[in-house]
Amino acid sequence: MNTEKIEWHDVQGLLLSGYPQLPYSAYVAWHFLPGQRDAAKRWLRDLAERLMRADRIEGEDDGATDLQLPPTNIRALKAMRVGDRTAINLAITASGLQELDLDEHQLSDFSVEFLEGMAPKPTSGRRMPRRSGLLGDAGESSPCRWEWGGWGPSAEVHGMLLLYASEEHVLQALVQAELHAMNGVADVVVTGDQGNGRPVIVHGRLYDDAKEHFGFVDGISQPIIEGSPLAIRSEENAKNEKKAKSGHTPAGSGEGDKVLSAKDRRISLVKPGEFVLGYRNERRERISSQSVKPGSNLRDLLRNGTYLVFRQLEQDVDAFEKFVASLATRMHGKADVEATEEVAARLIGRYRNGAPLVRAGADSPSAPERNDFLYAYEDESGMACPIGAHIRRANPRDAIGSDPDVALKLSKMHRIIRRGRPYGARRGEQDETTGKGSRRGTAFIALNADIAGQFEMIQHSWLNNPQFGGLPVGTDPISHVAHDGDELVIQQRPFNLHIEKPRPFVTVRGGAYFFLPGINAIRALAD
Amino acid sequence: MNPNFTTIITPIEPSKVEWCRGYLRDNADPQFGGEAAFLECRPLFPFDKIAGLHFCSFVILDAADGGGPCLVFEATFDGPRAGFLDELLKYAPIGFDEVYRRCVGYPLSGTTTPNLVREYWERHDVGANTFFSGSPGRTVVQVKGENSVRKGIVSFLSARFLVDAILPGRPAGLLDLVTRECIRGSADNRWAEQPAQLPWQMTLRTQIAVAAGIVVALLACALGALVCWALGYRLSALYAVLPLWLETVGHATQHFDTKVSALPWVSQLTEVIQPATLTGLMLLSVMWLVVRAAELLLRSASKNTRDQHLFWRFPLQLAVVTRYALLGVLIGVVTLAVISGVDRSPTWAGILVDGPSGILMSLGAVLVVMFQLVCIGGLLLVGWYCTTSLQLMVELQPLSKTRENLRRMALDVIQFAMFLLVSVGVLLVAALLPETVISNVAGMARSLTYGWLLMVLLGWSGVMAGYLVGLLALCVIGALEYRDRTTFEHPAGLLIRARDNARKYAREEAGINRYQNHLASITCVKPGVLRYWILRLVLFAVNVLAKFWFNKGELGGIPTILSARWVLIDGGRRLLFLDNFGGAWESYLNEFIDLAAVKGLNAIWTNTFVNAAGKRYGFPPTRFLFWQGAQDARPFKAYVRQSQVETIVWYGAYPMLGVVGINANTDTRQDLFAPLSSPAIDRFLQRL
Repeated sequence: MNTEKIEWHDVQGLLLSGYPQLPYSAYVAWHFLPGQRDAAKRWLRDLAERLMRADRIEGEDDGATDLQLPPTNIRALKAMRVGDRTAINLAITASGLQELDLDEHQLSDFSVEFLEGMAPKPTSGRRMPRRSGLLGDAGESSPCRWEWGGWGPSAEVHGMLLLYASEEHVLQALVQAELHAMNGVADVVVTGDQGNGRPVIVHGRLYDDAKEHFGFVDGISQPIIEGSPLAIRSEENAKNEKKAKSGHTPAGSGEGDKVLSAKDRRISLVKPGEFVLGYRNERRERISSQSVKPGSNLRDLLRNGTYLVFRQLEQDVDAFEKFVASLATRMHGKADVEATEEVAARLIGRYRNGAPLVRAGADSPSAPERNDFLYAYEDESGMACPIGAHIRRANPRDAIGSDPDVALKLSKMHRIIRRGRPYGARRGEQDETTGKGSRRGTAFIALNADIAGQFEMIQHSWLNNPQFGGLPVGTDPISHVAHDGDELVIQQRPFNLHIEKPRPFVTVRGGAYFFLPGINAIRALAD
Repeated sequence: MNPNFTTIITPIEPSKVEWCRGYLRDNADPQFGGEAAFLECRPLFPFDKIAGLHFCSFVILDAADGGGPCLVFEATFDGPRAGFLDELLKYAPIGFDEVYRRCVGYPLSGTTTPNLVREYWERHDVGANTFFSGSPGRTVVQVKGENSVRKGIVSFLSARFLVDAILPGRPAGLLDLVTRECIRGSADNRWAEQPAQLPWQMTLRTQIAVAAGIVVALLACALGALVCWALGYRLSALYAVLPLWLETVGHATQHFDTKVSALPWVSQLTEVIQPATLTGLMLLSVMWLVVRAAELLLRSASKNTRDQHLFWRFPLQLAVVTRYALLGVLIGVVTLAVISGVDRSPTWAGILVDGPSGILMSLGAVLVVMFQLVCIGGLLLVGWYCTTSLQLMVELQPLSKTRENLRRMALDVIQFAMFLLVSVGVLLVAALLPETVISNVAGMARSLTYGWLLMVLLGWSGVMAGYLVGLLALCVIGALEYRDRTTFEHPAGLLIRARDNARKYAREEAGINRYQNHLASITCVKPGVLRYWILRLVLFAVNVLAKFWFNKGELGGIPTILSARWVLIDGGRRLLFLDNFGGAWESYLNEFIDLAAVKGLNAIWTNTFVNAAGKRYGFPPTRFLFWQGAQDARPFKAYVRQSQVETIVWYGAYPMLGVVGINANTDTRQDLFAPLSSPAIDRFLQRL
């Protein structure tokens, strides 16, 4: 396999890892203060050295022995077992880039979706802006009702600091430190009326059971980047096993790190250009700067960067539970735990413990979450996993089209890396904030190289498409989209169950399109 | 064939262009009515009052080097054009009058003289070079009605059968219940009792394809005969020479034949079949196996459309043609062997003529033959079982490349073995027939077989000649493309213009265009005689295919096009493309880029270029007309955006439906009263 060598030392760490060692996180939306351009550049230059990278530079010291210094690459982070572990990542919006004095040529390197933003303001009174129609942001989720990032009077978002820490107090200290560092240069965005004027700091929290607020284990299915350490390790392992089978003694895989099986690799390995800009993607194209010619002195700002989609999705857990209970009564006649488990699994596509509906029987009870399944041969009719179920829509694998092999390859062109975390206290826990503002939900983060072809396409053509798979299956059960006459369809014999879809359980409260630059790109911006 | 279409292009007075745009935007464009009504037409342009209108749109083309500014009105409708134009004048006289008053040549009396207006429109109707409809033969009323029938069935079933309610035992009973109570028993749905009247181009699709295939084969034979005549051979001479060829094969392989005849079971066969024919058969079989193996290897080399270049596809197609030709020759030779065998062994027939002891012997002979036929029948059953399981294998599990190739090879070999068994059976039966019948039939059959062999050989050489000509043509096109690389800029330069082009498509995917979108694109045709003819030829070919083959809702694998047309305007200098499609623009173009339909797209659009900022940007470079081109995804999308023109007004009669859904609804209706098997009923119910 001729994989490209990726400059991991230049890529921000969020692409390679969701930092499971750092369960406490804060997403701070900030905007530049006017007239502070030089100070802003100094701040960025200083910040670039503290950002978490995906790997260390060749020859650089790990820094793991020095517990005083926070680790700045993932290898060092993993090596640290005790002490205050933190990670910082930086993302910038198009308006933030404009504040940094980029000229038209450089700005037009970036994609149109990023430049317009997630919620471009409507120009004419009559027509909804195209992006909001595409994403289904209408009604309750319309950007005019967003707490931040929408059409309301709150300040423009210029960037976001993604802060991660291993302990609660460490996170608080980190937040304070960073706010202090950006004092005078940038300020935290403040929500409009809908959020009571609170600062936009979303506290994501990765729980031990990895469950989000509807009760489902989240983040099981992630694409693996070809050329990432995990992919390289798995290839080596596979070669060693082949050698072992043919009689040669293998060198030994050693570490005890995770390794992918052959089926996992076939399903989840994706070319790097789908996520990291500047490398070849599944279409054998590279997305790179058009204005900077190779060999010139100017820096290609796109290289080793990626686009980050952030959406603050509020979840109405009570309504979801009620709906599941009523559906269980209708389908099974009772609403006990078993029945609601079955019904909820039909909506999402996995049981609450992560076991997928497709071939759910063949699991080990200790590790039920599996990701090595496909749909075309195992569940073409949708009897095991309904065709409109959430995971089947978000990643159809080999289900779309007549040839499963081709379909699997095509579906790899539309995958996203998800790094989101739930926010807000769990239902039943203490510490529920009162008053207006979202109480609990998911801070949805998606990383991809082509927002229109990956994130937006999944949203519009798969999740919110009432004709998904050529059948009238309604929209995604947990989408924020509300149509009149929308329905949920669960495949059954002899005929399918059509259920009227209630009001959506999810509402969009804020969001923006960010760019997660490479480290050298940030340094170039700061010059 | 329904639906009918019209593309009325009228020049606008240059000073009035902006006024027209504003007027259409403010008064003609239907509004998004929210969840209640979805699409609400404006009072001056009540398109929804016209019952037979599928889609219509207004586009204004700015002045270009081709000509002045013009107004384009595109409509897809049912029924004759005159009737549709009359309805336009009946329901929207004021609106159309206001707009067309600013057009050059419009009768001054306006809509007070509707005949003049209609005549003006008909004069400016340019039709379309190529027109495609995703659901041909369906009227608006039918589309809407079949959708409501489906919804009615769904709500009937849902309401009737809640948990624990008693379902009819058999699936046929369930279907019966639906048709009785929901269709026949409901005044709204009773019309669905009559099956839909689909146009003959749809119902006779396979027959038309077979007929076209036969015509092509005959043309190939004619071409082959031409080639032979050009090379100096005459047809009758060839015909006479065929049996001589077979004998030469026999003489050449005599040594081998004697070896083969020495083998134990073969010696029995050689009583009946000439050893020369047997060797010829074996030789041909070996050749066929080699060609088939080569073809399978080439085909399975890579399934990625980006790997399938001309240099792979050409040998693959040649191998396929040669394989079929070899198969034809094999069949011919087997038939000859059977005939000669029948000729040479009238032994049984002699017995049948004898006296009373002869009758017993002949009865015994008949019984023996029947027993042998039963054995052959048994073997055929085994062969049929094997082929069926091989064919099903592909649907049950994913197969690796080698296993898939082996499967196909095994399928071919078993089918040929079954054919051989049938021939042996014919041999055995023929042994019982009287000699005179045999010799007559044998003579006729022999000449027929020689004729068949001649045709196969001529056809093969004709097809090879055709491929040669095609290869030369593609090389010429390749040279043309090489030259174009310097004449036109690469469209990657259009990527920076993305934001300027964004306001053109602000209406997509929002409001009334949530499910169906419209794309209007104007490009210039590359100068030159070759480009002129290539474009026209490809448009003509796509048009014919759209009418007779791609009438099941998909165009080359793309299942989302509702109604599309290509029109050459300005005397062939510019190409106008108007397309109503379902889903988002991004996923629509992705389908073209990633699936096999990219070849057709390339063939049409590679002959075009766009102007931007004073430069001429060509389509992303294609290789030999069909390959690459649009597979260069980002420059291709930038090219489309640059060529796109704002759709000022768009109307759709069923804006929430998709092509797949519409065709599925028609299938549902057709299946209602058709005799269905249990799996078919299951498919019917799963489609709802």
